[in-house]
Amino acid sequence: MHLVRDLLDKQLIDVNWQKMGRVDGLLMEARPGTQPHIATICVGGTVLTRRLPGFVGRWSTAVLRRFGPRHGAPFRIPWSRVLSVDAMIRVDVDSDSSDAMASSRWVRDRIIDRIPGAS
Amino acid sequence: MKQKILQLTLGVVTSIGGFLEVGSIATSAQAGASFAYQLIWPVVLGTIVLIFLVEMSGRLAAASKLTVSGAMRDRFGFDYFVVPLVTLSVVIYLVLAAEVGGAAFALQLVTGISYRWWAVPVALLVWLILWAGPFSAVERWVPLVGLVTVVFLVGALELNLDWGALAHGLIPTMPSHDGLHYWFLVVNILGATIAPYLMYFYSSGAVEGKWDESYIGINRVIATIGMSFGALLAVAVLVVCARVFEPAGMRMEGYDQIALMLTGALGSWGFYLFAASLFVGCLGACLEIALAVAYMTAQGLGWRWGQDEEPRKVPRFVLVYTVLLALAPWLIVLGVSPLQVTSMSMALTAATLPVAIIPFIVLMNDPVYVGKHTNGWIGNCVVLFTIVMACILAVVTIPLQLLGGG
Repeated sequence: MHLVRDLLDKQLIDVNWQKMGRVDGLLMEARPGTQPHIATICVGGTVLTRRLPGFVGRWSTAVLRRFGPRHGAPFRIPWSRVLSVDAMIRVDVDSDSSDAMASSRWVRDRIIDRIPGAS
Repeated sequence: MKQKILQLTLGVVTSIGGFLEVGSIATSAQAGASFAYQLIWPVVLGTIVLIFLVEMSGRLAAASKLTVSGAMRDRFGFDYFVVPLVTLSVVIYLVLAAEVGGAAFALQLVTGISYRWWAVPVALLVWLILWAGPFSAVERWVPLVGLVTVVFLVGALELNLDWGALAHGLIPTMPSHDGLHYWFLVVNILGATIAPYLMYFYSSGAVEGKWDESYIGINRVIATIGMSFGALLAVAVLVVCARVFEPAGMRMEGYDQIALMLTGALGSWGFYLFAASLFVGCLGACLEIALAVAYMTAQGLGWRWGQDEEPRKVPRFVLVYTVLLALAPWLIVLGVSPLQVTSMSMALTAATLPVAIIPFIVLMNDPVYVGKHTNGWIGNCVVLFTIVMACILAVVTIPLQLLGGG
């Protein structure tokens, strides 16, 4: 498997076949005596903004740290939860009850539901 | 098969948003008034390129089940994706403002109440249609109502046309006067025709319509017929204006002049049908643009999206088009001239074209995405030609806007 080609930036699908963001970053783990391996998939937060070059990256990361949900901390999925890697990556997470959908829920409850005719 | 033929409406909707919106109507009218039939060739050139790019967007969606924006994020990563996303969002804000202005102006023609008062109601109407209607409704009603725009063709055929001169306009020629204005219009016509949002919209529509590989054949027909339909009407606008305004030596200074283009051929009916066409075309373009930005953002960031979903199931997707439409009318309300916004937005579309087109050459040749349906050599030549052309346009558009705009 090729980390950047086959994993990074791919669509994540949760256990209920719902979209739940993209693979915005990957955390590797290397311990003495073992091969380095992927430990965690990161979704959203400063993991994404840090990929932008120069001052744009630094500035947007600082903004997310200060004002973002969970101070810009990404949602983490342990590699052991990965079910399949294909054109999309399916993971054993129920995104609706997890922090991955926190901003989506916030928009739904605070904005969409207040518009007449929403439900 | 019947199901597939019905998808022709997707092509026609895309086309209405590409050719019968305020940008194309305005630039075709200016071109006809200033240079008679001489500027038909950029419309035709833009259309051929657009047919190829739209066909590729549909083929990508059918072969990979991915939209253009989704595949762009997959293949090029977030740091590239952010460039077309940000440039498109900025440019599209102006384009949307121009479309809202066009629809508002159509209402001014009919009611006599200033377009500035109509901008907010127009944006609200667009939002309501998106909020309440599923994709299939947009896809079915826009082409049906859009048939009113055929009036331009009727108008053109009512006049005694010089077919020889018309055919001559298909061949690029050097202008005999106003060289800068000529090239300014060439760039604007190409910018108004080859709009990247059309490709994001079309491929998302194909994914919403659950296209699979069996659609690849019909996709060609849909792209060709759909885009040609719009192009034919854009040429008709140009021809009518060439016949009506060019002999009088009139330059198009504002929409109120363009509005009179059909009165010669069709009398007062012509005036109202022009207003109706402008309104419908601009409204269709507003729907398409607002959706295209919401699609692109949601797909690139992996959010849930879909115009067929209930709004509260795709909250962030709905939020994008809601914010965009909430911001859209204010330039017009403040009294900025709709024709000026239009002209600026067309030039900027041309300037940002390369970042949107370059990914096509990679994606459409990568078997990981399109499997065995990769581009043939003709397709690749057209994309390469378009990239070169887009780069030239990007460099010359701003200087031409400043020098040749008036």
